[in-house]
Amino acid sequence: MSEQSFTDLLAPLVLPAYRLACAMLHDAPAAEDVVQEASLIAWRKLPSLRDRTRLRAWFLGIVANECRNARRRKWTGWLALPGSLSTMSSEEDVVIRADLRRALIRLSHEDRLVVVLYFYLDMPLADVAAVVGASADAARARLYRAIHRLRPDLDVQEALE
Amino acid sequence: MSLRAQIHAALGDVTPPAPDLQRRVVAYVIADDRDRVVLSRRRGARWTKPLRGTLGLVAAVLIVVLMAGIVIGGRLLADWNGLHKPAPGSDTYHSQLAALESRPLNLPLLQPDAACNRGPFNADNSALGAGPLYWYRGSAPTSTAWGRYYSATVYTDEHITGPILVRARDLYSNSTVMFVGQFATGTVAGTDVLLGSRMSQHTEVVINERDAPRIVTNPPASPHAFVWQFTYGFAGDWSGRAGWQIDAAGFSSEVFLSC
Repeated sequence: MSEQSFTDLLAPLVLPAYRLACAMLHDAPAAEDVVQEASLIAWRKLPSLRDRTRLRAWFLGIVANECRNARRRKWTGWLALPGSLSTMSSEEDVVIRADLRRALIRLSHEDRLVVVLYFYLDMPLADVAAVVGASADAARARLYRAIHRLRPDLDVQEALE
Repeated sequence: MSLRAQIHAALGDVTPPAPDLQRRVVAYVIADDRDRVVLSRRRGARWTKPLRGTLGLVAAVLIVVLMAGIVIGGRLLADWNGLHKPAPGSDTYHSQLAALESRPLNLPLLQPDAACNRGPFNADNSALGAGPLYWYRGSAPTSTAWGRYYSATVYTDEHITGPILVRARDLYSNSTVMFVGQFATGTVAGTDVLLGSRMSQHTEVVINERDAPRIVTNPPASPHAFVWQFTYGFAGDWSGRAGWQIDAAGFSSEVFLSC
């Protein structure tokens, strides 16, 4: 396939893939690596994808898998406290955001993935299910569980609205 | 603010713009294998592939040696400390702690219409406290049926020996701030279920240089050697504005207000 084919098919998905990788890894350079490698894998496997309507979910699934591999490879990077401790100041929102990132990074890969896809990439549950390779019901159950682990004080139904 | 908006804000911080990424990815994918090595950000990743098995073995051996060193070194250090410092549980330690607990609390009680002014701050305004112990920050609250809990991060910038006693009061109700989990000690004033676990609520926290994980990778730990985290809580009807008193053998009481 040609460069034009790639640009037409996968290039529009690079930015969502980068956002997903950043959200999963909290490390922009590592996220760029992941997107690069995932794009190459996708490009090589593209002929095996019969249903092109599933391209986005299929590609993001590869990105998510590469994020998991990257995190395994870069195990030393996770010994540090996740996210720099922001200074205590009147900027309480900075602190709250850092806390939320710390809570996200403590979630398992699977739980973090559904949260990021649903809340950060604003994907509908059906698409989230397609990326994680589960049924819509299973994806919903995983999302409920992840929200509860992320914010035990929050009403899950309210969070989903 | 909805959870979605909070997550967008939090993750937006770790997603810097990458305007050139799409072009680089296209170039990387279209390139042949040799050019791809040049274009790859992880240039070492491919040529090291044949060496990974050997390197893995060497790394495993080094880890074993390192672990053995840590165990042996830790025992030697413990023996050394045992000779030079009072250990928690020793008579000296308990007498030091009892002396700290006997110090009176110097925390103000504010009238309902009085303002609560946070402070004092350290020199660069990044933490509460005039030193040598600093209250760096508190987390977002976690609510329970009893009230709400926060995680506090404190650090010291000096070598402090012996126990450090932390006590706190709600500034408007004069109620004792409760501590749960690691480092919480003293009188058990009640129990509560936090994150699915039943916890005893204690009236004080005692931290010790011995308990502090050495964190040197993130501020504010560097150059500060000792950082602790503990959990404290307020009942639902308290103001949530606290006065903190820190006592240790190395320095006199330090009082600061978190408003």
